[in-house]
Amino acid sequence: MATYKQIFGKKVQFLSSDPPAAIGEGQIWYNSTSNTFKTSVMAAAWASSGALNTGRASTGGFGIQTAAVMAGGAPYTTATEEYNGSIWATSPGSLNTSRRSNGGLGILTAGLTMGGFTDAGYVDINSSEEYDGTTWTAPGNNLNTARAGMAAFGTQTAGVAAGGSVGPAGKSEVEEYNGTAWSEETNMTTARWGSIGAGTLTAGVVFGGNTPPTTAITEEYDGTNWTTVNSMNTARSELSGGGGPAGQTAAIAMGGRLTDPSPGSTATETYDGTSWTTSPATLAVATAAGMGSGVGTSTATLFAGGKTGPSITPPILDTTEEYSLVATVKTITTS
Amino acid sequence: MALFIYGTATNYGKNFFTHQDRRNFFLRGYPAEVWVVGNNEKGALWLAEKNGVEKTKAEAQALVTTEVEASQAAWDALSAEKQERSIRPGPITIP
Repeated sequence: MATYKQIFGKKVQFLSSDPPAAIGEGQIWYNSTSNTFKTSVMAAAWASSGALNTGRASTGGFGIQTAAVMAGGAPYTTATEEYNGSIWATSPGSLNTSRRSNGGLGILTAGLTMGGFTDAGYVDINSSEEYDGTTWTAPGNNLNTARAGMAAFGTQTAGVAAGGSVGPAGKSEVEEYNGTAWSEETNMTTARWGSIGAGTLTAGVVFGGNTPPTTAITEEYDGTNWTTVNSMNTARSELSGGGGPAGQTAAIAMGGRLTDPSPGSTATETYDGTSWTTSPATLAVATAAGMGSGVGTSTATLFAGGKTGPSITPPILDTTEEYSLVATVKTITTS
Repeated sequence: MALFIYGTATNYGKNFFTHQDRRNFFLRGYPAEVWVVGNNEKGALWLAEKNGVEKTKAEAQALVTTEVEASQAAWDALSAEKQERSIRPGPITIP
């Protein structure tokens, strides 16, 4: 059998204390204080982070873990906040239309929100607004079908809004945005609201939602057609997730509502383009209806706001959790 | 030995619980700032360091239930139109 030195080119080091986990990643050493072999491996976990200035649920979110945006949400607000990886700061720019259950896509300096519904009369909204990192503009580019709770992915000039609800009914309508106008495209196979989208206009993925009931169904989009692929392990709606441009082969789903009237879920799953794998990392707080759009990547994302129960009634959360892969020192207990 | 420690503590944001904490012990948050913590040395230390107030399981459950009942009452007061697009909160049982 090959020795450690033959494989790694060095002998196993004797150390009186463990090196920082990030430095020791992938290496083995002998801790002469604890008389144990140690190694450092990358492991996923959720950690708390800075609170929102305005607690809210069912918001349109977009961006990446260190440059994210949250806009609108319940209680009804036009407020927009930006996250820098540590804290949320209120943006000087507010939405032109107060809305909740709006979709969101893009990045901090080129974002888009669309749809949602109003507080007064719960009227579904068809307008979309563009964000430049400072200001929201409403150029009058409206969805063809006013709706709320859609999955959104892509960019400000090549975006997709899929599904959603008109009233309480799930929809399968899909529309693409080219930066100027929305066009109707091929419907998804499964009508639903409260799902999440990731990827690009020509390589997208939509997962979860409420048909009703809650569903684990996953569909991939190639810019023209939808294909149903392997489902998530946990059916849920009003989940959060992410994946960024690579979302069709590297997406993440977390939280959400399992069944009615259950509280939220802590489950986290990752998608590799073929199948979903349940992560041992779970949200600390079972939460649904946080940022209802894809934020971050499958290895670095966040969950902010939301609600612990199925209703829009309090408590509405202002908390944030970050998902990251972090190096962790482990004691080797088996050969 | 009991599996969990129960307590209340205020989530102050960054580093209230870290990635390493989540690797070291079970941690689950509930309404009313109730936390269920794995009953090991690191879990107990975490609750103490967060100025947590230890509760019995019954006390912790009562706090959660009170918060849920308040949420249910708020939902009951919504108009039928709003109730149609929302769901009445159900009970939450802590482990």
